[in-house]
Amino acid sequence: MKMKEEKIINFMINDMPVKAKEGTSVLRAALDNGIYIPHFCYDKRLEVYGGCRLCLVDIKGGRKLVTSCTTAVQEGMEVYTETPKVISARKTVLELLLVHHPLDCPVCDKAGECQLQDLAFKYGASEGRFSAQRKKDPERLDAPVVQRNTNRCILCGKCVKVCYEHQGVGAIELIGRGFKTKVSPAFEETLNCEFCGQCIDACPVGALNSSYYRHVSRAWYLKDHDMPCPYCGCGCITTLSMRDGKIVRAKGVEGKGQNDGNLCSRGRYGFDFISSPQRLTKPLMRKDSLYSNNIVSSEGSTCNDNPFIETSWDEALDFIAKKMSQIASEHGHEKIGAIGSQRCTTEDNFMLQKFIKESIGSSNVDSAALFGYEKASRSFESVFGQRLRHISWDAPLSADFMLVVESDITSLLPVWGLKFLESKRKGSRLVVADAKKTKLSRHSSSWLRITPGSGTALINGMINVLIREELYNKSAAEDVAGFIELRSSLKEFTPDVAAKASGVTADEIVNLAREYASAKERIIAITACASENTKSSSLFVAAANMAMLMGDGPESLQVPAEHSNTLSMIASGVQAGVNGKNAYEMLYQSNTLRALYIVGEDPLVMMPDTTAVENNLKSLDFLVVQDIFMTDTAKMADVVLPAAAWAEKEGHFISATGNVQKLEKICSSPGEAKPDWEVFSMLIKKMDSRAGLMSFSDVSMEAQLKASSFMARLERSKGRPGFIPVELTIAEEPDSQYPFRLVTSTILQHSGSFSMLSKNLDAIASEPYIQINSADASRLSINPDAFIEISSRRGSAVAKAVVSDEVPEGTLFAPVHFSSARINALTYAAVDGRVPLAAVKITKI
Amino acid sequence: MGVKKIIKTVFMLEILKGMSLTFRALFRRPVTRQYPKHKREPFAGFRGLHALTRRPDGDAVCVGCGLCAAICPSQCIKIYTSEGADHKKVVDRYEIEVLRCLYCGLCVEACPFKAVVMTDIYEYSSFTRQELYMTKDKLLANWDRFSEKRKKTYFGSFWKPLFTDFSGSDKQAKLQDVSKAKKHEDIYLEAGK
Ligand code: SF4
Ligand code: SF4
Ligand code: SF4
Ligand code: SF4
Ligand code: SF4
Ligand code: FES
Repeated sequence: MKMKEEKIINFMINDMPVKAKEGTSVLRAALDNGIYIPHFCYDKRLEVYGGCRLCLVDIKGGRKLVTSCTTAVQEGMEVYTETPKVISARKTVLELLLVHHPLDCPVCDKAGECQLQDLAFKYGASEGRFSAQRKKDPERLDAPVVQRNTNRCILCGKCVKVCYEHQGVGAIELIGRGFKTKVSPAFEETLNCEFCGQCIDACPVGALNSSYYRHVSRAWYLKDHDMPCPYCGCGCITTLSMRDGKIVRAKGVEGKGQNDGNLCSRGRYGFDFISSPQRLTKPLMRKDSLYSNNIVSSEGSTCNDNPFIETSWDEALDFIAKKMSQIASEHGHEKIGAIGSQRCTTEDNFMLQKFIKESIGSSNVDSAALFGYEKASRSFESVFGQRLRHISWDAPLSADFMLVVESDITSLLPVWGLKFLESKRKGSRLVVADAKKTKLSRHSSSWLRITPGSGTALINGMINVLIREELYNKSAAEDVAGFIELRSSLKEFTPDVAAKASGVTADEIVNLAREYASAKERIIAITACASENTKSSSLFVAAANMAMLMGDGPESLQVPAEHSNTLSMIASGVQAGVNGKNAYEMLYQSNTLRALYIVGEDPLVMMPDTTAVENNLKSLDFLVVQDIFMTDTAKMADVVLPAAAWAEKEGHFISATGNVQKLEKICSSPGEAKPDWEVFSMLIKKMDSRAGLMSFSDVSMEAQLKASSFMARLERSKGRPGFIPVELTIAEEPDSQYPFRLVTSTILQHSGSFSMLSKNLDAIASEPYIQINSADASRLSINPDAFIEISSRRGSAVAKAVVSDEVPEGTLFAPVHFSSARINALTYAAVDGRVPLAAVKITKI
Repeated sequence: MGVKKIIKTVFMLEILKGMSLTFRALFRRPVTRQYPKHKREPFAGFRGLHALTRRPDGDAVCVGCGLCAAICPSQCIKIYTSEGADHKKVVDRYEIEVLRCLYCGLCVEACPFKAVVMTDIYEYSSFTRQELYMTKDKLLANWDRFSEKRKKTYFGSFWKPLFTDFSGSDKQAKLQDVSKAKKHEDIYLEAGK
C-alpha cells in the first residue's frame, strides 16, 4: 500500500500540548497521551460510531460540545475534557442510561470493572429525575459460553460491530426498535457462532458474560497474570485472573501482546484444561514390570492382563534408566528414539534432546512438526537456500495482494487470520484458493474453489502464465540456478492443463497470475500443520518458486509455525539431525526402534495413518509416554509419567512471529506431576550418577542460548537459491471403490487432542463430525445428524454427518481432534512430496 | 519555719485531708462492675460479634456481592459464590476471621442489604482459633442468638434506623426515601427472578 507522508498535528488538551498524526480522533489522541475521556462505543478496532455521546468534549471557540471520537484533531485546537459544561452533559447521558438500567450490580459479574458503574460513581447522578422504566427480558443462557442479559445492555453497539466488522462473523445484531432494541442473533434464535468471546470483552457493561465465570467471583478478588496462550503459534497474551491459586477466567487486554486484546475461543476459554479431572497425577507402570523389578511382591497375581499401577517417581525413573541402558547395550543406542512436543517449553524440549543425545547417545529426536512446519521449512530451504523464518504479524497489513492457498488461517491461527480480514477491509485484494469454504474464503475478494490438494497445480499454472507472458522479474530470476529447468518443465503446463488439474477455469488462473504479478506488495500465506492433508512439500516448493520468480524475498511467503512453541522446539534441538531418524522413520517404518520416549504428543490421534503408528508402537520393546493426561498413546505405554502443564511451570515459548515469551508458574500441578525438564534432569542423573541435578535457571540459560543461537543462524544462513520444478502427485486418488476424498484439519475451537480436556471448549464443540456436501448427502440419502461410518484402505471411523455446502461434492471433511472418532485411522502418511489425501467410502449406518 | 508550717506538721493536716477523701469514698457506691456477675448493657452502636441476617425462609439475606469483603481493611472476609440450580447466585461460603477483624464496622456500612451486621454480643472467647473462624452457619447462629434479645434502641440508633424487620433483601441500605427505594428494589428482585 502507498505510504502517505503523515503529518503531525500540534494541539492542546486541557492546556497540555499534544501531538498526533493527522486524521487521528481527539479521543484516540487523548487516550494515547494518558488523558482519559469516558467512552462506551469507541473501540480502536472499529469504525467510529459516535452513538453513546459520552465522549463529549469542549473545544474552544466551538458553539456546542462535540463527540471526541468523531472529531479529528486540528492544528492549534484547544480541547477541554472536564469543564463544568462537559461534566453536566456527561451526567445527563449517564442519568438517561440509568433510567433503563436494572442496577443489579450485587449479582452482576461485571461489577467492579463495569464502565457504567465506574462512571456513574464518578459523575453519578444518584437520584434520577425520570421515572424508571426497566426492561424485563429473560436472560439468554442457552448458548454455550456466551450469555446475554439484555436488560443491562446500554446499546453501545460494540459487540455487534466487533462481531461483524472485526471478527467477520456477524452473528449478533441490534434487533427491535426504540426501547425494545436488544442485542440478539436474528429472530432471537440461540446464538450459534465462532464463540470467540470477543463481544464479551468488548462489552463495557455486564450484558454479555461468559458462562463459566457466572457468579464465580468478583473482580476485586482476582489477581491478573499475563501469559502466552498455550494453543497456537500466534502466541497471544491472555490475561488470566486467579483466585486462590485457580484460574477463573481469561481475557484479552488492549495493548498487551501483539494480539492487542484479541483472542480466539481457545485462548479465551481453553485455559481450564489444566484443571481437568483427567489429569495424570502419579507415575504409572505396568503391573508386571513392577513385579519383575521386585518392587511389589507378586503374590496372588493370577490375572493375565497387565494394568497400570501407580508408583513413585524414583521407581519409575529407575526402571526407565535400567530399561534404556539395557536396550542400548543389547541393540545399540540408535534403536532408541524420542518424539518431542510443540507445546512444551523451550526448556522441556531442550532437556529431552539433551537426555536422548547425551545420556542415551542417540540422535533420533523429532516431532509431529515433520508433517507440518518442518515439511514447509525444508521445502523452502531447498529453494531459497535458507530456512523458513518466522512470520511477520503485520505482513497482511502491508501487502496489497494476499494469496492464501488451501489454508484455513482463521481456524489455525485465528488472531493472525484477523489481520487478513483487516487488510482486506482496508482495500487489499485477498484471493483464497481452497476447496473448503472458510471464513477467509467468505471474506475474500475472490475465491477459487480448487480441487482438494491441487494447490501445486494452481501455482504451477500461474508460473506458466508468468513466464509465458513475461511477467516475472527477469533480472532477478534468470540468473538463479534451475530457471531453465523450471521453464522447460512447466512449458506444457498451460493454464488449460492446470485448470483441469485444479478444477478452476483457465481464465481464472491467467487472471490470478496477472493480478499477482501486478501487485506491489504481495504475499502468499500457507499454513503447515500435521493435521492438514491437502498439502505436500511440493506446494511449498511451488510457492517458493513463484515468489523467487517474481524476485520477492523469503518474507513474501508467510508460513506460520503451528503451535505455541513449534519454533522453539525446533530451535532447541528437537528435529531429526543428519544421522538421526525422523518421526516418519520412527513411527511408520518397522524395526527402526526398540524403545521410544514420547513427550506431550498423541500420535495415535494427531498423526496420519494411526494404524501404522499403532502397529509400530506395539512392536516396540519399551514405550515411555510423558503427558498431562491419559492419551490414547499413553494407554499403550510401559511407563506413563505425569507432566506439569502450561501455567504450572516456568519456561519460554517462541511464537510464530519469533517473539520469545515467558511463562510463569501460577498454579500448582496436580498430584505429583512434574515439569518435563525436571524429569529429564532426574533421568540424566539416573543414567549417569556423576551428573548433577540441574536447577531451572541452569536449564533455562542453556536452552535459551541454544534456541537463540539457532534463531540467529536462521537469520544469517544463506545457501544457494535455486528453482526446483515440482509437480502435483496425490497419494490416493478416489476410485470406484473409494469414491470420496477425505480432507482433514484442525477446527477453530480445538487444538491437538488436549483441548478436549477443556470443559468450556467441549461445550462449544464436543462431538466429532464429518461434513458432507448436500448433493452427496441426498444422493446417498444421508440425513443430517445421522451417524455414518467412513472407511479407507487403512481404517474406519464413525461420526455424525453434517450436511453442508462448505465442502465440495465428492469431498468429506473431518476434524482430527476427537479420539472417539479417530479420523486419522483413515488418513495417509506421506513425506515424499505426494499430497497425503486419502480416498474413502461411506458405509452408512 | 513559720508558725503555720509548724502546726501543719504537728497535726498532720495534709494527711488528714487526704484520708478524709478515703473515708468519704468508703461510704459511696463503688464504680467498678462485678463482671461477669454484673453485665453491662452495651450502648447503641456497639460493634460486637458479626452476624448474618436471615430471610424469612431462613437462608442468609446476603447475595454475595462481596462489597463487605472489598471494603474490609483487614481483608478477613471470604465469600465464595457459585451458580445455583436455577442459574441464580448462591453463596456457598461466607467466612469472617474475627480474630483478624478490627471492628471498624465498614462491612456493615458497605452492605447494600444489611445482610452482615454487628451485634452487641461481646462475650465470645475460645481456646482455639478455629472456633472463632466464623463460617456462614456460625454467623447465622449469631444472628439467632442476637435476635432473641435484640433491643429497639440499639437498633434504632445504630443501623440506619429505617428497618428492623429484616424480612428480605428488599430493604436496601440507602433508604432516605423508603418509597423510592422500594421501587428500585422491586425491580432488582424482578430482574433477579
Ligand atoms: S452492568 Fe454495571 S452498572 Fe449494570 S448491573 Fe452490572 S455492574 Fe452494575
Ligand atoms: S451487549 Fe454490551 S457491547 Fe453489546 S451493545 Fe449492549 S452494552 Fe454494548
Ligand atoms: S489465536 Fe492462537 S494464541 Fe491466540 S488465543 Fe487463539 S489459540 Fe491462543
Ligand atoms: S468490622 Fe472492619 S475489619 Fe471487621 S470484618 Fe468488618 S470491615 Fe473487616
Ligand atoms: S456486602 Fe452484604 S450482601 Fe454483599 S456480600 Fe457482604 S454481606 Fe453479602
Ligand atoms: S465514544 Fe464517542 S460517542 Fe461513544
